[in-house]
Amino acid sequence: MSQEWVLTPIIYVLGVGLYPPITYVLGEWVLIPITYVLGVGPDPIIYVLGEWVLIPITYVLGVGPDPTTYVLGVGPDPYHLCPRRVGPDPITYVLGVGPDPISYVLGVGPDPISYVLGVGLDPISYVLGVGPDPIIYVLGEWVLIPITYVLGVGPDPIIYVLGEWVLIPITYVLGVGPDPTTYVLGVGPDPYHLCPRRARQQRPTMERERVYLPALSRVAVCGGTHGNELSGVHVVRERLKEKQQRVDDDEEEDEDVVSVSNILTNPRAVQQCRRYTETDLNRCFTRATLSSAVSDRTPYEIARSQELNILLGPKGSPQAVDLVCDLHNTTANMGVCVIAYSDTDWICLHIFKYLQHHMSDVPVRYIHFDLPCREAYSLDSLGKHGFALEIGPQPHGVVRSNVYTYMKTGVELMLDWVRLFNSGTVFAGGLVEVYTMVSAIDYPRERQTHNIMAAIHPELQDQDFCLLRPNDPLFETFSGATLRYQGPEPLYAFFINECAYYEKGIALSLARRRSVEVPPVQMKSGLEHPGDPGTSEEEEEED
Amino acid sequence: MSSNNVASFNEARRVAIFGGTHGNEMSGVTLVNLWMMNSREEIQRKGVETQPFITNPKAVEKCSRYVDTDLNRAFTTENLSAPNGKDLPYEVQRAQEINRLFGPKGSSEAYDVIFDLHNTTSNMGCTLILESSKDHFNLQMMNYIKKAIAPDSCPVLLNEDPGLKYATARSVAKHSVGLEVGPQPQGVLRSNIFEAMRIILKHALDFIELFNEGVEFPPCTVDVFKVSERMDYPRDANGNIIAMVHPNLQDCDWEPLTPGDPMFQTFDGKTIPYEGAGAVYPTFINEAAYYEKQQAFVTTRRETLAANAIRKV
Repeated sequence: MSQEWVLTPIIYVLGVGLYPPITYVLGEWVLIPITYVLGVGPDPIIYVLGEWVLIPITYVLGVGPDPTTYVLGVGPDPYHLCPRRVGPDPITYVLGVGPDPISYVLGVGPDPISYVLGVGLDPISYVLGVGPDPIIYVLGEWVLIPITYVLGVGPDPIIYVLGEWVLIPITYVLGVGPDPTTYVLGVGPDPYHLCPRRARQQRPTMERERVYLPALSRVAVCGGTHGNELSGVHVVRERLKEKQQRVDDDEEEDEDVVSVSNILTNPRAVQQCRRYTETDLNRCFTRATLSSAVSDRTPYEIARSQELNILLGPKGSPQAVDLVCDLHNTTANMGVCVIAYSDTDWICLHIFKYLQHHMSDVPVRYIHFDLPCREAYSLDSLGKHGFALEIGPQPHGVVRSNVYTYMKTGVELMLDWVRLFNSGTVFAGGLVEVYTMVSAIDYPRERQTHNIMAAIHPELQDQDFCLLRPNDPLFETFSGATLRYQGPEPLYAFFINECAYYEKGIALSLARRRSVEVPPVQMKSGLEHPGDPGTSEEEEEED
Repeated sequence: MSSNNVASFNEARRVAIFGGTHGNEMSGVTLVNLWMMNSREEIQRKGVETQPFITNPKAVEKCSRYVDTDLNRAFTTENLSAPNGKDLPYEVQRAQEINRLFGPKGSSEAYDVIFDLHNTTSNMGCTLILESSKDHFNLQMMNYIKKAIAPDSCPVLLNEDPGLKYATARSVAKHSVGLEVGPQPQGVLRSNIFEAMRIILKHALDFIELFNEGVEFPPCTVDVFKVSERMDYPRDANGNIIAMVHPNLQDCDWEPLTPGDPMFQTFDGKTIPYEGAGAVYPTFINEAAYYEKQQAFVTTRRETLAANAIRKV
C-alpha cells in the first residue's frame, strides 16, 4: 500500500491497527502516515500498538491507508502527551466514548472540515463533511464500507481486518477525507453492531425493485398456545372483550380491510395455567402430526392441533389464513422478538421493520429458524405467512404489565401495518438484521441422574443477544467452577435460561447475525387468492 | 424458662433443611440434592446433625408446585391426624410422613430447627419468614444473619396472625425458619439466587453452632415486616382477573405504598390506586403461585421486636 504523507499540526495521535504506532509531538508539525482512528471520551485512554502511549483524548477520527483522509481531533481541552512507555499488553483498538453525545469539530489540511458527530447512548444522525462534498448519512440506512481500521468501544474491543467490506446500519458514522466511505466507527453501548464480514468485489446496488404481494385479508391473533404464557392469554381475552363491546355498542367492524380472529389455542392448558396438558401444542403442527389418525387416546394437544388446522388452515392450502401471529412469553431477557421460519418472507420482515421502528423503548429483533416448510412444527406455520411474537423476560404463570403492554402494542402495530398494506401503501425497503439460529447448548448433566450440574454463568445470565466468543464463561458449577464456551466461532446467544427448555435439553441457543435486504412491497391488487407468499417473479436475487 | 431475662433453650442438635416443598422452586431443590449427593461438609457443624431433605419428590420430578394439593398448606392438625390411607391426596400423605420423621409437631421429639427453602417470582431479595414474634431463639438468629450479611439486607417477614398464617412444612419443628429468595421464575435456576440462598444458610448454621457451643447472645431488637392484609386482583363476575400489578408497583417489594399510589392497571390501561388507611409495605408482589390463591400482594407494617438474651441450657 503506497503511503502519502501530509504535514499537519498535531495535537494528539493515536495509533491503532496493523500499522506501526505513530510518533508525534505536541504542538509541533510532523509528517505522519495515518491508518486509523480512534474513539475518545472524557476519560483518558491508553493505546498501544507495540508501545504504550498515554493520551487524554476527547474525540477521534478515522483514517484509511490514504493519509490525506483523516481528521485530527482538536477540542476545547488541550492535551498533554506523555512520553511513551512500554507496557505489558499491546492494545490494538481504541475506545470508548462516554454516555454523553459529543460534538466534534475536525479540521484537516488545507480544507477545514466540520463534522458533527453524535456519540453516546442515543443513535444520532451524523453529518459528514469531507472535502468539497459534505455527505449526510441518515440514521438507519446501511452503508457498505471497506474497513480500514477498527475501533473498539466498550469492554470488548472488536478487531476488524483492514480491507474487507462490512455492511453496517448507521447509528454512528464518521467519515473523513475526500472519500468518506473509508472507515467505520463504532461507538456507543453496543459495539457489536457490525455484521459478519464478507468479501465483496463491488458495491451492491441498494435499489431493489418493488415486490407485489397479495392482500392479507384474514389474520389470526393467537394466545395461550402455552397456557402459562400469560401476556398472550390476556391480550387475546382483552381483544375478544373489546370486540364484544363494539358489537354491544352496535359499532361497525371494519372487516373490509382485514378480518381478524382472536383465538385461545390451548384452552385446557390456559385453564390449568400450564405449558401443556399432555404434549407441547407448539410442536404438533408438522404435516405428519396434522394428518395422523385420531382416537380417544390421542393426546389432547394433537387433537387440538388438527382442529386448529381446520380452523386456520389447512396448512399449505389456498384456504389457509393469510397471517398467523402467535403470542408467546419467555423467561429469557429477550425483549421483543419476531420468530419466523423464513428470512425471505417479506411480509414478516416488513412487519418486523414496522414494529422495530415504532417500538423505540424496547429492543425488537428478528429470529430466523432455518427449517424447510415440510419440517415446520409450530402454530404459525398454519398460515400462508406466520410468526411468533416472543416477549420476555416474564416468569411463566405471571403477567407483567410492561410485557403485556408491549405485546398488546405489538399486535396493534402489526394490524396497523396490515391495514396500511391492504390499502395500497408502499413500504420502503431496507436492510434488516436477522439472527439465524445455528445450534443450542444443553446444561452439563450428571451421567446417572441426568440432573443439571451447573447454572448459566452470572456474566451470561440476562445477556441475550450478546456475542458469545470462544472461551467466554458459559456455566458456573455448583462448586463455583466456570465452564467456558468451546465452540469454534463467536455466535449470538439467546433463549438464555428459558424455563421450558430445561426438559428439551437447551440451556441457551446460538445464532449468526447478518443483514437481509428487504425489497419495497406493495399490495398486488386483484389478487386475493395468492400463490406462494413472498416469492413473486418480480423479486431480484441478491448477489 | 428465663432467669435474669435470659431465655434458655436446649441445644439445637437436630436441624433439617427442606428443599422442593414446591417442586418448581429450583434453588432449594438444587441445594438439597447437592448436599444429599456430596458436599455434605458445607452444611456440617460441630454438635449439629444437619439433615437435607426433599419434601415433595413427586412435585420435584414433575417440576410443578404440587401434585394434588399445596404441601406447604397441608400440615393442619386435621390432615396430620387423618387416618392413614392411600386415597389421601399425595401431599397429605407426605405431610404425615414428614411429621413422623421430623416431628411430631408440638412434641419434645420434634426437630429443633427446620429451614424451608423457597423461591418467589416476586422481587423480595433474601427474605426470612418467621411464624412467631415470641421465639427469641429465632429472633436472635435473624439478628445474627442480618449482621453477617450487612451491608446487604435480608428483610424479615412475620406471618403470625392466625387468620393469615398457614400450616407450613417447617411448622413441625420447634423453631421454624422460611427462606424465600427471588426474583426467580418457577422452573428456572439462576446462579445469583442460588448463591444468595446458600450464603444465608451458611450464616444460619454458623449461628446454631455458636449457640450450641455455649455463646450467650445479648438482648437485641429485630425490625420485621408483619403481614397485615392480603390483596387480591380485581376480578370480573366470572372470577377472571381484570387488571395486573401496576408498573409502578411491580418489583417494588418492601417499598412504602401510600394511599393514592398506583396499584393495578387494567388490561385496557386504566390505573387503580391503593385506597388503604395509611402507608403499608407490600411484598409477594406478583407471585405466580398466588394467582390461584387470590393474592396479588400482601401488605405489611413495620414493627420492631425485642429479643431477650439467649443461651443454651
